[in-house]
Amino acid sequence: MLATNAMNSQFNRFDVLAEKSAAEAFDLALTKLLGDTLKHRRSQLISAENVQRFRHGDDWSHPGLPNAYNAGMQLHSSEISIKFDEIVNHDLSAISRYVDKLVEDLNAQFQRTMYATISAACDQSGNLVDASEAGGPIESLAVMLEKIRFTADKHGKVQRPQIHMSPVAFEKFREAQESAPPELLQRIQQLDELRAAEAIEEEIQRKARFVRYGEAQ
Amino acid sequence: MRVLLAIGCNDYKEADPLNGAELDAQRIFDALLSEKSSWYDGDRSRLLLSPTLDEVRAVLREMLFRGPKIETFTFFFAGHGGVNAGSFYMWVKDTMRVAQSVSALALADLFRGINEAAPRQTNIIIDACESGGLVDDLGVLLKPELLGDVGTPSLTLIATSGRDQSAGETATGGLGTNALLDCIEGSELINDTCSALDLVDIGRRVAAKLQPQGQNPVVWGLNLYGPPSFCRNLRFSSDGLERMRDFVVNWSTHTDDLVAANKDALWSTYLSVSGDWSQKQFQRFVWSISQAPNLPSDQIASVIERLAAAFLQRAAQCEDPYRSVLVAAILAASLLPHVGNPAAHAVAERLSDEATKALLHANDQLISSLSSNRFALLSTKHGGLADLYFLPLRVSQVLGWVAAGPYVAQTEEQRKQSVDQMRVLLPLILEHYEGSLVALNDSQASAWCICLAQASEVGLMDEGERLAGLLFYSLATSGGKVARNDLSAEDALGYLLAKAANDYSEAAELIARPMETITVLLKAARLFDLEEVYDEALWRLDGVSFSAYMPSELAHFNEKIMHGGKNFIWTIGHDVFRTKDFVATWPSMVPAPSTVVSKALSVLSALTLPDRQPWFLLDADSSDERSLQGEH
Repeated sequence: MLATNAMNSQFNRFDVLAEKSAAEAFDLALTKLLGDTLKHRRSQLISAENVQRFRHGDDWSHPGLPNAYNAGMQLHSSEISIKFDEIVNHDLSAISRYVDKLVEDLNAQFQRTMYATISAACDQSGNLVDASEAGGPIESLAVMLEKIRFTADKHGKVQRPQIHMSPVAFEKFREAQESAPPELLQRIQQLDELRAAEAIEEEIQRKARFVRYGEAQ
Repeated sequence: MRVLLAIGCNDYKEADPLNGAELDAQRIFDALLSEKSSWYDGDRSRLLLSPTLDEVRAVLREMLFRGPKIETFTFFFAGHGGVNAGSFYMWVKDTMRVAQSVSALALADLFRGINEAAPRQTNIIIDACESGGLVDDLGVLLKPELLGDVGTPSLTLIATSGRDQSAGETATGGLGTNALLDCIEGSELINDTCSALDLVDIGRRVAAKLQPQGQNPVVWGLNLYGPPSFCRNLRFSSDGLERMRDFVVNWSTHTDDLVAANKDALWSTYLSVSGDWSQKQFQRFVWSISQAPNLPSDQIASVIERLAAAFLQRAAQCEDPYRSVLVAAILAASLLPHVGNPAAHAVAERLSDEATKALLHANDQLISSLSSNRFALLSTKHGGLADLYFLPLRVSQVLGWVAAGPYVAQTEEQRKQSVDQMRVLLPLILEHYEGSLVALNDSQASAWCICLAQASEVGLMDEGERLAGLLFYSLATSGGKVARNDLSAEDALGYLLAKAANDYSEAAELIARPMETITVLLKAARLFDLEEVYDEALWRLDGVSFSAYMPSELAHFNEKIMHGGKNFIWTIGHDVFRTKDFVATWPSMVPAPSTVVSKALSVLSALTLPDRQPWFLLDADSSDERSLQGEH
């Protein structure tokens, strides 16, 4: 991922007064900076607890959940060139250009993959809501709440779904919310409470599948 | 007792016959046992011509294990060679092509025998005729562990290869053997200061002679136990160097202890010198030798000189021509505390000469490289953004080394060549790397100090003024925020990010405080009449503290931490508002070198250790120093 200085081989070149270990240490620091910046950007979309790492292979499956959607692994890559002149002229802005370009590229690809995966998973499960058919953004929220389930963590805390929307869509949603009839908002509130209660019950049922859950009293 | 076994094999049952192998062995045997220079025991030494494996083994058994203990064992082989399953084999008369392991003399077996007999020094010379790339293979196969644990720093091996028989042979014998004999018989001068020669010294010369012929001999190993003992030095002259001869004759076993104590470090350092290395580790290793307690200066100097022979040969294999410069410089500078001793002084003089020769060669290479490619100083393998930090450091190092040449030169001819190179390289660097001439790290200060002093001395006034101006400008624009001289490579990015944002609030620990870069520039201002220019911009450095450390005497100048002496500190906006305020309070106690050699070693110390400046070069009284330079 790091840019390297691939010199033109037409010149009889040799490295002068260079120490490999020092350059490697610098590159390691740069890679860490890139990694930390990417992690920060990713954490705005997905919590660190939901990130899983695989070292080997190029696919995965859930043998116990044969219907789970699987988009497989996607390769994300980016390329940037740094001109020799930038280095020779000690142009330090090259560092931020380099980091920003790679982070923006990789983050954009990650976002695309994530939304494409969600979209494909929804296609497979049939969890699709058409806002125009529903009658508006708030109505579509109500329809969505009817279709989906919430989850609760093992402490009984309900995890509500995240809503991702563009700034324009968000503005429309906010305006629609302000002008929405009270009975619609009340229905949404009731659906939310219902789904939360279902989630807690499901979590109780899930735990019940263990022989025992929690330390003996 | 010194013993020689010379084997030449012309006749083979399963290989093409050779013409010159027996002759080469005969010539080596005659040269080392001649009446004029008989150095080996005539009764115990043997010459074998086209022997069988059993004959070789019988002679080796007799020679190594019967009779008085051997001090020096020299083995010469000329004949076919082969590599099989990672082992090197010397072919003898009855060697079977498909069964080398049981019918040829394995180098590993020879090593094992030598290891068991444990002569104090061992010299192995292999002239592997018609062997193609075999010598290259041998270079790869040779590892310290091949020898076992005992006595590893006591062996030297030279392998030459007459790859192309028509090119590798002359009417009088193999090129490798001829080059070797030139050294043994004295027609090629190695030195005239020691009564005996080391095979490493000879190997370096042989390699230098054969490389233009397309041969790259392997010269491998250290030979550090005991005095040099490969052959008598027919060019030895005792004139004025009696002490040197005395210590060679009366070699102390303490130096053997020193070598034994550092055996592991010796090998790891030796092997790293030709490739990826750490200059700091090399420096630490050299200090461990040069600062050994309870050893007199002359003996330390002799070990350092022996190390230099082996390490410079190894460094010559590195693609970076400045590696040899650094190796010679670090070894030479380590003798600074010992130069009061005449023998150590003589060694220091020779090593300074080696450093200068290596420097002249490296500078020539760089001039040629920069002339064909203006990006020649960018790293080819480990560059990219890392060079935003390392390139300015590299550029300053190059300028420091180029400028050091005339200070380190040991002859007028060398000084003249060094000055000529300075006149080419300083303008070339200014032309191609103006943007990288920035004060980035306080470790650059000594390079600026040496370069500005030299520019002034050789009359490169416009170039010196431009360099000093660029550096001061870079300091002023960063508000004097230069990285500390011990900044780790891991922290370099953090410093660059702070510099790019001009926000050092999170990088306070990375900044040099006080710094010596400003001290160098203010001190050099008068050389280029820059005082008023600097004064105009001094407000930009308001609050910046700067310093100068003066050792009590230059004998301490190569120590890792110098004790005694004094740190002088100034702060812009407190006690310095104009350059003249600083000049007026500059201390009078600036230690100056008393000899050409101590001056050379001080300059080398300043360039190899990043936290000390040779202030005497910039001092107002430096006219004394310049007259010292004129004594060449």
